[in-house]
Amino acid sequence: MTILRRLPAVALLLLAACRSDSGSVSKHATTLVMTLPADADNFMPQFSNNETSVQVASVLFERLAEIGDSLQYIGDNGFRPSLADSWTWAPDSLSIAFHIDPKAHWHDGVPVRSNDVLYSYHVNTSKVIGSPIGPLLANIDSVAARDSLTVVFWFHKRTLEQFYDATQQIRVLPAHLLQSIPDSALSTSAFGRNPVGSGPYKFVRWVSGSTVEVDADSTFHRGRPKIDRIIWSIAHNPDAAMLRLFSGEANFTQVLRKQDIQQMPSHPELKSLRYPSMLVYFVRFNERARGGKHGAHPVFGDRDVRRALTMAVDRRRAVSTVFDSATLVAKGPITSAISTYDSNLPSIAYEPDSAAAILERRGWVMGEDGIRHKGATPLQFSMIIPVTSTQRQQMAVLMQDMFKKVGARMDIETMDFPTFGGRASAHDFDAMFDGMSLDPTPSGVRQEWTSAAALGGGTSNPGYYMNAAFDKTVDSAATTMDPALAIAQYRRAYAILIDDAPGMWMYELPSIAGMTQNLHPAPMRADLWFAHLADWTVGDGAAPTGASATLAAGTH
Amino acid sequence: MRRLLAGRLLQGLAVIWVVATLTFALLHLAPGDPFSYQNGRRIAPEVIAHWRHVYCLDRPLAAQYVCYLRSVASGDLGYSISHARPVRDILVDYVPRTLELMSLGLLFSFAVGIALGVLEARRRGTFADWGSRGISLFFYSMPDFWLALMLALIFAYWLPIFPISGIEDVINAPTNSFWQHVVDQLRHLVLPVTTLTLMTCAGIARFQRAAMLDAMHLDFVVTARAKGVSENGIARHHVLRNALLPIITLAGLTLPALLGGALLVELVFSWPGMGFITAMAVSSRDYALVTSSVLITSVLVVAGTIVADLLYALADPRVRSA
Repeated sequence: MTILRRLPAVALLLLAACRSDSGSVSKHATTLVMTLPADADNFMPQFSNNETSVQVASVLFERLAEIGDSLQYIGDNGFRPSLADSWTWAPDSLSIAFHIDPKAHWHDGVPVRSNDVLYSYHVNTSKVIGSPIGPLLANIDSVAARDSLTVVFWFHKRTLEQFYDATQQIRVLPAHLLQSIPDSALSTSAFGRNPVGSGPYKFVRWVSGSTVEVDADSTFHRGRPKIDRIIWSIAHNPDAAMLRLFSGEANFTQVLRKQDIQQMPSHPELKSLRYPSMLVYFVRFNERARGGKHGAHPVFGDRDVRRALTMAVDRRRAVSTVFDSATLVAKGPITSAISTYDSNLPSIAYEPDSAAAILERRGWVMGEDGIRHKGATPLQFSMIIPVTSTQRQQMAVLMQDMFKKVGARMDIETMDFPTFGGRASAHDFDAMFDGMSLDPTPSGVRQEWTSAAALGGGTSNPGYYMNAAFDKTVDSAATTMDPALAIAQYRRAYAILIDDAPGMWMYELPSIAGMTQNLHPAPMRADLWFAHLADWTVGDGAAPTGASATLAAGTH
Repeated sequence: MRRLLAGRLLQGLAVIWVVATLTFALLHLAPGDPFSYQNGRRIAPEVIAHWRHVYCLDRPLAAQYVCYLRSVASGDLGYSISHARPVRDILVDYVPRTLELMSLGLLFSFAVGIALGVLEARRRGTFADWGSRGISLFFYSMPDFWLALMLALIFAYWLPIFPISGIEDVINAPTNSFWQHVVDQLRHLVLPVTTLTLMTCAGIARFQRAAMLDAMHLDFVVTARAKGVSENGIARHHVLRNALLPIITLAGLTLPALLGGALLVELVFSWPGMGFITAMAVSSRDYALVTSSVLITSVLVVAGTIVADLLYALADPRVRSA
């Protein structure tokens, strides 16, 4: 009976004594454990938009060439070889021949050949598969194999982005493993969970909801990666992910929130690193009556009113309050990492007095209730915000107060992401606090803000911004072959857009990663911070505390 | 007994159908669908239209419902859009982990709850009785997610005895021997199971205490005492056995609460079970996965309740004859 009574305590002691760091010796000298709050879904790049899957796929599957760190998208400037070791432009620039590195091979030992590129192009453009990448390859007419190591991309027309289109949108898949699977069954094939790539790391295992693990490929054709093993450790929420970093169960997390940064000083074994971002956040105004009905929106249909409301908001103060003084206020529909960015772009300054005067001039008269009215219409609108975005909600509260000072009343509506997206595509909003993940090419602005985008349905340009001068400028920027002219025209288009105030540009999301002192990341690119994972190293530095970090320091 | 079983099964089927239908209706009536938000990226409208067609989301709601019922009846739970996998395969991965957590939680909750209830009843009015009731009430009144967070903070962060979350030591799991793997799994189970036990056992203890006190004054106990049976013997052989009957009913009733608690505990401890995938699926409007998760949950609860009813009938002849 005495033994039975003591059994729970004994069991607890035994379990506690069996701590993992007293366990087996790992065969890996260096391990990087990254924690993030989302599980993977499918490792085939054509089928996933999921953050974890994209990160894992980036070390498993290669592209023909990689964009340089400056994100220059024009021609092949700054691009470096990847799966292709060289390329040749046709004299008329309507085709590019890529020569595949003969040393490149799949992780099952089969060499990478032209057929793999042809198959990958097919997967991205197949109507049955419906890859989101397909429409981005519209300028590619066809892809053909000249020989087993040379593949030629033919284009409909010459553009500055054609090299980018051929190389950055397609990650090459192994045809010998996938070609026999019907297109309709590809998304459910076992390959999506057990992939074979040609990249610097080879797939080891995926425990659903828990772990994804890859090992360095010692025979990788561009040289063995520096870290032996990478583990994505899945936490179910950002707090759990941070606790793993703070307790030493992980070496790296890609995003530190404000509350996490405040805790960093009490963890000398950790450091933070700010890296550029392609995420821009803005308040989008709906210029049409809600629900996409014909007729102008009673408030935002008037360009002057949009400008006045933009003038009423002290964006610098709002951004500094919610983030910090180092966070960039967005200049326009782009981030400072995009090559066409111009720090001298015009902006609508914070001038609440001028805002009030403009509103007065446009017939919005201050009422006794402190709200302006135009006839029977109050200067009142709602802003929809995703409920998971604390920062956007905090910023909206500050804006609410700023609008109130010029006689405008803003209500805040929070909702989950699918509802937010559903309301956007149904045009059922007055204003929405939107965010956009940009790619390095400036033509994204065409897909998002032109009249064609507004009339095309879907979630592009749901606020119905339409300006013929803007459309024309963007079109000529996207079609000219003169790089200097293209950049100038894009900047002119940005200026038109900013001047028309279809939205209020708020901030570039500050990306701050947290990591152990002994982890040395290679440059973190704005579009894919993990693009150079194979070049990250683990070296000397302050000793981390946890089991995984100890492993990373090489003591196991 | 057969009539009882048949009646319970029919009732259970009706409950499951109502739950499945309500879940389907509420999900589809909520704004947005699986393709209405694409993580900040813009996807061409024609691609989204293609996907909506592939997943039948462009059909009228009634047609989708008929399609759903037909596929469920044939054992096909559909395809999860957010996981890019058949739902059946996902459930095979995740349901056993929730069952593992729940069954251990149930086992420890009842073991601890019954033991505490017996202790409190036998030491009624003493410091042990008051202390035990006070402590168990303290845990009972705590929000489950907060209790889980506090346990994680104390036993995984301040005193790093147990892992903070997850189901395995991600570094060493591939090279662990069988026994190291077992120990590793147990270490990861300690905090989630302790949370479930602490939040459930107080209710069971109070129930058990009351049942014990009721049974202590019944005639056969007085007779046993008059015949000179020891107090320990009375408690063990006469009072406890009779006081355990209502606990069987309580087990059936505890299942839904325990399952709900397990879902929250999973989120806090990053335990990849039903709670995790259901929460993710709801926020991404993964219709097939949400409806299937709810369906499986309701089947588990209904099955648990039926088993409790049958056990009660087996234990008490009066119920059988009624």
